[in-house]
Amino acid sequence: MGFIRGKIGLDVLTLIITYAALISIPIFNDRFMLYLASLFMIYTLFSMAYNIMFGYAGLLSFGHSLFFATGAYGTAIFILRVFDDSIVGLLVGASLATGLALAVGLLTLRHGKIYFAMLTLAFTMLFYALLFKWRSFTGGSDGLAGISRRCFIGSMLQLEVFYYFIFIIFLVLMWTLYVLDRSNLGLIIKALGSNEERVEFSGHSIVRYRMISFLISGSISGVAGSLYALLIRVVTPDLAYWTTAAEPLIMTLLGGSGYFLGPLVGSLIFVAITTAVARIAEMWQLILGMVLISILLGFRGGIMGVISKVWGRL
Amino acid sequence: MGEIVRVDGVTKKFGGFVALNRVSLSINEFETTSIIGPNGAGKTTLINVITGKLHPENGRIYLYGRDITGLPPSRRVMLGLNRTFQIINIFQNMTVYENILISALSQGKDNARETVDNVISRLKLSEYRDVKAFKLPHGLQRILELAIALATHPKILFLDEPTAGLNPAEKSSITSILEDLGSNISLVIVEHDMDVVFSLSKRVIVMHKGEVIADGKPQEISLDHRVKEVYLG
Repeated sequence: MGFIRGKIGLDVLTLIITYAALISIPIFNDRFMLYLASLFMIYTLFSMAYNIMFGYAGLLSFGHSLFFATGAYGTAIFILRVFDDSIVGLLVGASLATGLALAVGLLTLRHGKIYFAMLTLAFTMLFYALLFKWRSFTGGSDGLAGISRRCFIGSMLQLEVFYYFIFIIFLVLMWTLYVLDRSNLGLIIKALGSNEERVEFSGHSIVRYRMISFLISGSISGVAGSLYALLIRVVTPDLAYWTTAAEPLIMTLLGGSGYFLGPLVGSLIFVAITTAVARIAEMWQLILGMVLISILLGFRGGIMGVISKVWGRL
Repeated sequence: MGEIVRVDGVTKKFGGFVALNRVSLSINEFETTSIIGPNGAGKTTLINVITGKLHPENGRIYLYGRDITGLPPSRRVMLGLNRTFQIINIFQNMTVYENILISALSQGKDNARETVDNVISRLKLSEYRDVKAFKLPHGLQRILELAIALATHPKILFLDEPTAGLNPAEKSSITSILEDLGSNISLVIVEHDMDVVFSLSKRVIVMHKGEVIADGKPQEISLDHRVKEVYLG
C-alpha cells in the first residue's frame, strides 16, 4: 500500500522468522515443544483476533471466550455426534462462531462501549451456564472427551502430523490478518479506534464497521477454539468462562495492542511464563500478575512499545 | 438560487435549557451564509442538529426536499452534507494522507486515491502528506479537517468557527481558501470574527437565545437595531 511506512518491512520480517522457527520445531523431535508451539499458534490467533476489536476498533470485549468456546464445542460435538472429520468439524466450529458473532453483534454493537463490554461478559457467562447445565448435550462439568483427529485426507492423531495442520492454518490466517492490517478496510477499522465521530463524519457507518470487525474477530476466535479442542481433544465449560475471555486481553496488553504483531509477542511471553514458572511451582499467576501490573503502570505500549522505543522509530 | 437545506420548526432542549426554539430557515445554493450571535445563541446546536450529531425534539430537516431528520451523520455525508468542528476533529495519530483517504473511501474505492491527491494539491498540503496530524501546526490542522470534509464531495459544508485559535496569517489563508470554495460548494459558517464574516458572506443570519432575530445581506445586518442591541447589550 505504501502509506503506512516504516513498519511494513519489520512486520513481514518478524512473520517470516516466526514461520521459519515454527516449521523447524519438529526437528527437535520433542513432543512437549510441539505442544507448546501449537498452543502458541492458537493463542496468537485468538489474541490477534481479539485485538481487531480491542486495539483496532477500540472496543473492549470481556466475552471473546464465547467465540473460542463455540468453536471448540461446535467442533467437538460435530465430530462426536455427527461426522468424524476434523477439517469439516473445524469449518463447522468456525461457522457457528461467526454466526454467533453476527447475532451478538446485532444485539450489542449499537450500544456504548461500556455496555458492549458488559453485554459481551453477560453473553459468555450465559453460554458458560448453558454448557454447564445442559449435561445431556454438552457433558456438563465433565465436558466432552475422545475427540479424534481423523479427516478425509488421513489421520492426524499423531501430534507430529496435526502440528502441520495447525501450522498451515496459522500461516494462512496470519497472512490474511497482515493483508487486512494494510488494507483500506484495516485503515477504517483502526480509524474507528482512534476517533469514532470522525469516522461517522467521513461518511462511514460506525455500526457497520464495528460489525465487520466483530465478524472477523469472532470467526478467527472460533478457529482458534476449534484448533484448541482438536489439540487437547477434550472440551470443558471453563473455555467459556470469563477467565478465558481475559487471556487474549492479557496477551495483547503484554505484547502491545497498538502494534500489528503485539498479540503474537504477548502470546509468546504468555506461553513462556505459564510453562516456565509452572514447572518450578504453581506461581505463574503471581508472576503474570506482576508482569502485567508493571506493563500497565510503566510500559503502556507493551513489549513492542519498549522495543520500538529502544530501536528508535520503527 | 435553489434551496438546499430547509430547517422547519426545530426545537432542541438540554434539560430545561432551550437551545433552539422553533427555528425555521433555509440555506440557498452558493450563497455563502454566516451564522452569528453571542455565546449560547444556539449556533453550534443548529449545526449539530442539521448535520445529525444531535437529534431535535421537534421539527424536521430537509436536504434537497428530502426529510433527513432521522438519518445518522454518515448517511447525510453521503447525500452531500458535511461539516467541520469547533474543536479540531481529525485522526491525530494518522498521516495527512490517511486522514483524507479514510474520508475519500466513503465515496467509493476506485477514485479514492485520485480524490486524495486532488484535495491535497488543492489545499497545498503536498509537503505534509506523510506527516502525522498531531505534528501539524494548529492552522494546518484546520486546513486538514477541511480537506477531510472536501474528500467526501460535499454540496453543502458547515464550518463551525473555522478560524478559531488561528493567527492572522493562518486566518487569511483559511479565508482565501473558503472564498475560493464558495463558488462550487454552498458554505455555512459560524464565526465570531466579523472581518471574516463580512468578507465572505452574501447573507448573515443572527441568532440570539435559540431564535433567529435577523436574516439578510451583510450591509443590512450591520445596520439592524436588534442586532446592535444584542451585541452591545
